[in-house]
Parts: sequence; structure tokens; C-alpha cells
Amino acid sequence: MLPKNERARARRYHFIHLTVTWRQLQHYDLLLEEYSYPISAIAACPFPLVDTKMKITVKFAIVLAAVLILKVTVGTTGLQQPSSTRREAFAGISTLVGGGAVWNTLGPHDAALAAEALALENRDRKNNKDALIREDYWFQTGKLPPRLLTTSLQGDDPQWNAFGRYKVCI
Amino acid sequence: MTPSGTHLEGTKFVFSLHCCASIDFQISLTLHTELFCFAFDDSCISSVDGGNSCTYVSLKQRVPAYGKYGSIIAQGAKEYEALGNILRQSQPDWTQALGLIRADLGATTVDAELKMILLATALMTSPNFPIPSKELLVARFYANEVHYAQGKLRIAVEGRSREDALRIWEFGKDSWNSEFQVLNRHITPKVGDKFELIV
Repeated sequence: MLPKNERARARRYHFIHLTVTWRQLQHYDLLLEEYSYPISAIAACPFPLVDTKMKITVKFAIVLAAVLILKVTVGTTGLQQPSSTRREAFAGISTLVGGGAVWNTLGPHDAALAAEALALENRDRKNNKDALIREDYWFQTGKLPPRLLTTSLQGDDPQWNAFGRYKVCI
Repeated sequence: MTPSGTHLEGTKFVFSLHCCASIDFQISLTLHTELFCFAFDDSCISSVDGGNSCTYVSLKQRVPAYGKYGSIIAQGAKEYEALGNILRQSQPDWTQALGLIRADLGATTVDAELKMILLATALMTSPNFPIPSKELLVARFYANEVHYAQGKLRIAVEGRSREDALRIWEFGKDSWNSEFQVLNRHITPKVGDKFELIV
């Protein structure tokens, strides 16, 4: 088991990464909500104008759309090819449904570049073992300053000032 | 008298305290200032003119430090900028690029890393307070980022990978400029010229 201070650092590190993941999830939830709302509204429409036949038609359309999506997914992931394994197929589906839905606006090349750029500043710092001087802001507080400071540090910001509390410290 | 209103009379210090709006009184102490600040944190920010003795750094400390390290840091920044210009070319001169990033070939960029930390320590460590201020920690953080970026950049230049080198150079440029943002606030006209940001 890791010593106490190492565990605290590991928790902080995971917290930062979980925060990012949680934001992505929130974004994904919003997307889902946005797109699923009209469909569910039609399907559950209580107006008398929409009769049972209409409801059945709408539900059938939804099922048809789902089948079509599945077919496209199977086609793109190569599930029909006899050589592909089950693991590859599931990996393909999860990429298409999960990662693809969130990141498809960036495109694969841009997404790769963004991920690499993110890796430089949000890298595993290994407890500052390889740093020039170990006791820096991240090591002492567990917080990561921005990649680029556009202005000098503001004295009235408690995150940066000398003792974290007072306006006049800087 | 320091800007905080702390009067120095031999080993005797007189502190003006504002505990709240209605109470205003003075105490004379023979304690060392840093001990007093450490024990009574509020006293360090309470003064007549609103200054802070705990973060006060004299010109006597800042000027020699700037004179000692400033020119190397400025030269390092210029070389780093020149390296960026080389990498932006369609066919970079890798030999020249290596000369600007490898310490064994006399690159000032690498020499400037440690000088940045030394200058930040001299500019931001007050003799009145023994603990490094958060601002100093931030300066150290960006110096560490520069160190990391230049290490990666050296590998990319040695591998002659232009895209990687440019991407890492951009990251390093942000770190250099952030470091200058922190340092420049302490470089008043009496200390010297502020560092120019890398473009």
C-alpha cells in the first residue's frame, strides 16, 4: 500500500481526471437529452389527434431507425467479416456510439492533436520527480495553473496571492 | 521605514495594527519580524498605508539578482524564439536547431532554466517571511514547464520530427511567456527592463 501522502496525491490526480471525464459526460448527457426529447415527445404525445395507429407508426419508425443504425454500425465495424473477433466488434461499436458521438465535430486528426496537446500540460508529473525544482505550485497545492498566463497574477485573487486570503498580500 | 509602515529602530519594531474599524493601536516589540509575522499572520497585512511587509522585497535584493541572471534569461528567450523561426521553415536547419537546444553545445535556453528559478527566488522572497509565497511557487511551476518542454523539444529536434517539435515549441513558448508574466511584475524601472514576451 502507498504511504499516506502518496495516496493523497494519487487521489488529487484522479480527481482532476475524473473532473474532466465528468464534464465530458455532462456534455454527452446534454447531447442525448437534446436529440431524444423530440422523439419521446412524439411517442408519448397525449393529444387525441394522434390515434393509436399513429403511435404505433411512430414507434415502428423508431425501431426501424434503430435497426438501420445497427446495420450501419455492423457494416462499419466489420462485424460481418468472418475474421473479425467479437472484441474488435464491440470496440468498434463503443467507439462509434460513445467517443464518436462526443468528438465527431473535431474530426479524427484534430481530436488526436487536441489529445496530444492536452497530454503536455496534463501529463503525469510523477510527483515532480523529474522537475527542475520539486516544490512548485502544483506540488504544494495540488492545483494546476493555466497553460498560459495572459496577465500577471492578480493580487485580489485568493488562488494566487501570497497567503491565499488577503487582497494586499501581493 | 518599509512601505508597510513598520519602523525599524535597531532591533526594536513598532507595528501599527488595525484590528477592526474602531480599534487602532500600536505595539513595540523586540521580536524578529518574521517570527512575529509567522505567529500573528494578520499583522503582516495590517498597516497604515496598506502595504505588506511580508512580501516586501528591497531594491537592494532585486537589483543585483536581476543584474546577475537577467541577461542570460533574456538571451535564452531570444534563442528560443530563433529556434521557433527555424522550426517554422519548410526544411529546418537541424544542426542549427540542435545548437539552440542542447546544453552540451552551449545553448543559453537550457542555461536560463535554472537562472529563472534563482531570479524568481531573489525577486519574490521577502526577508520578513520565511515561507515561499504562492507567487514564487507559480514562478517555479512555469520554470519546471519550460524545463520539461525543452527536454521534449531536444528529443524531437534530435529525431528531426518537425511537427512534434513545433507542437512542443508552442507549449514551451506559453510556459516562457507565463514565467515572464510572473517575473515582470517585480521588475520595476529601477530594477531593469522587463522581459519581452516570445512571439
